[in-house]
Amino acid sequence: MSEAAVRVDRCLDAASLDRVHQALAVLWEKAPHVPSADRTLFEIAVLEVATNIVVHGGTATESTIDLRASDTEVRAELRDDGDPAGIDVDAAGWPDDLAESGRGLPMTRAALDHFSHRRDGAINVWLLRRDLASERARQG
Amino acid sequence: MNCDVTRPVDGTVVIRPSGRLTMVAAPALRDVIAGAVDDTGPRVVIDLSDTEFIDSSGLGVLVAGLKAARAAGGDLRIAAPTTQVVAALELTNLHRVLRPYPTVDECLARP
Repeated sequence: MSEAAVRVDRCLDAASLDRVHQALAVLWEKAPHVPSADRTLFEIAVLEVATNIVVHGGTATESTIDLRASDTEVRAELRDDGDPAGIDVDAAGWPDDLAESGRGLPMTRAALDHFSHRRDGAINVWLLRRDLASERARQG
Repeated sequence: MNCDVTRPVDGTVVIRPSGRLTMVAAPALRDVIAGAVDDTGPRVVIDLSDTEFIDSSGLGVLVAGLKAARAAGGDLRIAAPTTQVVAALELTNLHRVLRPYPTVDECLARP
């Protein structure tokens, strides 16, 4: 199949996060082969990063979220022109069981097969990828 | 997000949020739980059957509510989580801390 793709522009405030949920619903309509469990975990990850941009984006005036689904994976690229995110995605460990915060980044990492952040000039670039169940089975 | 609040049993309050329990809605639910503990008592049940999506903020509010209820001498239980909520709880291992019940009635029946 050709890749399914949906884009969300300017998700810079809390009210815009609804558009991310809507965009994912459209992606699943375009890519009905994606299993329910993969959809659920991918949505959790995308919304955590999108929310992070809204909360910590500071001076951001532009953002784009590109969502794609192929035969073997779902992936997202989130870009914004805000302050440097200053986050080491690999270092974020789980907080204590009764902690009220600090779960966002470890949740995101746990839901994905690839999660990275880099600074590309003045742009924050977040890359998220989850392999689909069929691809996981093939890889063994 | 809307919250339906009922008191089916003396000293116990059942709170049913509806919609997405995220950064936007979490503070309101935190206030509802705190108010319920003050007004009714420290036994709280959160009915999650109408919560279509929960994120880390929403999970944080459930944990905060658990701590508030316990500090007041009671407990907070969660019931009837949707598939998405179950996934979020298992992803974070919070299903071991919050231990969901299948239904509100089963929650209320346990001492």
